[in-house]
Parts: sequence; C-alpha cells; structure tokens
Amino acid sequence: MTLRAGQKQVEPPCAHYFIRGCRKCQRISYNCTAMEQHPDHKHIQALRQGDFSTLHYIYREHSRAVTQWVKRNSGSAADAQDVFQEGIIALHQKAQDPAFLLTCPLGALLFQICRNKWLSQLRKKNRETEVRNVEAERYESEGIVQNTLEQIEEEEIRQRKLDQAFSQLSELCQQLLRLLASGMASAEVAEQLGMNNANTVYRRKNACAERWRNLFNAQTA
Amino acid sequence: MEASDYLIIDRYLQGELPEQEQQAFEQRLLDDLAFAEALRERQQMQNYLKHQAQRPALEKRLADLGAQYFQDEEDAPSAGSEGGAVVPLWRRKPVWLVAAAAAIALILLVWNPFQTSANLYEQYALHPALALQERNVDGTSPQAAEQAFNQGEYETAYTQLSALVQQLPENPQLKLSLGIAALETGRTDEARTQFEALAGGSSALQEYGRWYMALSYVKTGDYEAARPLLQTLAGQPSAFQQQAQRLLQQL
Repeated sequence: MTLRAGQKQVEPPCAHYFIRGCRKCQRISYNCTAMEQHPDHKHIQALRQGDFSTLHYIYREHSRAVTQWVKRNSGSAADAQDVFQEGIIALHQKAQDPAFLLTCPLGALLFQICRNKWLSQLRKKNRETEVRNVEAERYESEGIVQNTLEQIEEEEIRQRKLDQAFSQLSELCQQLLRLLASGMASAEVAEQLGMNNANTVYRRKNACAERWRNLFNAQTA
Repeated sequence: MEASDYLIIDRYLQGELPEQEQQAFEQRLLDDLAFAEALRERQQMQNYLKHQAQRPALEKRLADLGAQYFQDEEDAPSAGSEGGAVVPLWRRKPVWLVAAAAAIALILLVWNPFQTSANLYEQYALHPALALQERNVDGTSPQAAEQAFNQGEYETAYTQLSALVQQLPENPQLKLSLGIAALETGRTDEARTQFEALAGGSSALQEYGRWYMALSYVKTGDYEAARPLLQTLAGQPSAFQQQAQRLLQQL
C-alpha cells in the first residue's frame, strides 16, 4: 500500500477489510503517515482517563472478527477472549502516553494486536505448521496499522520490564510511587507513610525512581 | 541529572509548571539530550504507574464484557468458516427491528386497518360525570356509586346504580349512568333498555338517550342501526349535533 504525504484519510474504515478474502475494501486507502487523529482516538482518550464505558462498543464491534480468525487458526472462543482482553490491556497501556495519537482505525489495530498475540502463542506451543499456514496469509491492511502496532507492542514490552523491575523495589518505594502517581499530594503521602514532610517524600521518591531505573536498565542489558 | 532537575521534570509531568518556566523547559529538552532522556524515562514510569492504578477496574470490566460477548459466541452454532459468518436473525443488532416497528407504526398511522367498532366507540364514549342530587338513599350510598362511575369502575358502578335505580326509578340521570355502566360492562341489552326509556321520554336527557343508543350500536358494529339515530341527531340543533355528524362520516 502506498501512502502519499498529505493524502486525505478515508473515513469510515471498512468493517470487512481485515476479513480474509474480503474484496470489498481493497480500494480504500488510508494515510497514517500524516499523523491525523483518527475519530477512534476518542476510545484512547477514554481509556487514558480510566473511563471504561466505551469498551462495550469495542467488544460489540470488534470481538467477532478476532474470534473468527482465532477459531480458523486452531484456537477456541476462550482463546479469542483471552487475546482480545490482552489486546485491550495493551491499548490501555499505550493510552497512558499523553503523546500517543491514534491515526488508524481502532478495529484494524486491535485485530492486528490480537493476531500477533495468538501467533506468538502458537509459536510457543511449537505448532510450526499452523504458524506457517497463518504466515502465508496476506493482509492488505497490515501497512495501515504497522507503525502504531509496533508502538503498542514496544510499550507492552517496556511495561512488562518496568513491572519486573518494580516488583524488586522495597514495599515502601512501591507504595510511595503508587500514591504519588495516583495524584495524592506530597504532604498527604508524607502523612500516610509516616515521613517528616513533603521534602522527604520528594527525596525518597527520587531515590526510589533511580533504583527502579537501574533495575530496569540492568534487565534490558 | 541533579535532584532539582527531577523535581522540575516531576512538576512538568504533573502539569504544575508555570507557563514561563514551561517554555524554558521545552527549550532545554531540545538542547540537553540527557535531560530529554530523563523526561522520557520518568514519563514511561508514570505511564506504567497510571496503567497499574486503573488495571484492577479495567480487568473487572473486561471479564464482564468477555463473558457477555464471548460466551454468546461459544453457545451459538459455529460461525461460517470462510469469510462472513451467518448471523441468525435473533442475534443481529436490533436495528432492523426498530426500523420495522417504525414502518409498521407509520402504516398504521396513515391507513388504520384496525378502525374497528370498538375503537370508534372509544373515540366518542366520553361519558358525562354523574352528580346526583339525592344524598340520602336507604341501603345504598349515592356517593359511592358516583365515585365508582366517575372513576370508570363500571362494574362496581353498575351494581350500585342498579340498587339505586330501585330506590329512585324516576331519576333520568341515574338511568343514563346505569345504561352507560351496563354498556361498558357488556350488558348491551340492558343498556339499550335504559337509553330507549330516556330517548322516548321527555326529560332533559332525551338527546343523551338517542346519542347513547346510537353509540351502543356503534360499539356492537351495528352501523346500519346506528345511522338513522345519528342522522336525526345531526339534523337538528343539539348538544350532539356536531359529534353525530362527525361520527356519521366515519361510519
């Protein structure tokens, strides 16, 4: 798929375009390189704010395509449910990045996230034949979401590593960082954790964050 | 990186940096790569912490939705294996139902096939309230009969009015109300007896008698019997002249 800079993004996305063999949407082209906000970005904003009221819409619109694909590729509906849930969690992780802008249709992106998750599970189970069969498929939509997909997957890996490093921090560090991230005022955090004042909180926080960073970097290396 | 640098970064991430400082901050990001890298790291940590803070609520919601959307999938007959799935009518989005209902409602509104004698009767059966002069009648309370009748409890009203008529056989208002109560409870013949007595009499309710006699025929779908009565009413000035004319057109 060739995308020219400044090309107008076509809206709405075709609901069938990630279904194998569907020819309905071949002529629709998207431009994700222009970095225009896609209307589906509202779902990302909702996730960012901890507003989960639009999730039922995402399930209703997009769960079927994922389920059908997973079932066609040696999975069950329960497998589909798991990867779909993981897919939403991955979106939620990336949604926390205030700089993240969704420039492609959410359904196509979510489908690719889930697809990759299921493929990696198949690989883990050493079901090479099935993986090869799946790999043989050509997805016209891949180029549309590829860039965003990579960002989401990077974020997922990063947060997994951050999580591992975080779990190695002291209980006090974990509490301190969690409370501050929840928006609690330093003075209040000081009181709750039995520290002298807000300055102590800042100092301790810095030390904890530094320790966390070192643990994270040690892991990456 | 100094501790003070991290303090500024924290304030920036919290959105607590004043506008003047913010410009200097953003300029420094361009000039000082280590500073930009430190911001990126802290931002990523914050993203992680924010995600973790919301995660329990998110997972609960996902479990609910998963049960709702994927359990259905499990129960349903297996979807088509190639391309589009066959979705049974009852599992489709109810949009078509709403559309169908709207279409039917519209058709009914324009062309009412259910213009039956019953709802034609309903249109015109606006009964006058009963207000008896008598306040003391042996055995039966006129007030209770009035109340039942005026509230549309015709079964109760019929019983009580029947008893009252025994006491006050010459009260035309009572006859009319008893006739209406009888008509409303399906005692058509008895109703007509009362209406006929009124229509043939010389009381102020003579026209009521004719009108209700006509209405009783409308109710039973006996339009041929109703028509001459209505024509009489429509042809001379009375309280029912206009109503009778309108009803005649609808028959």
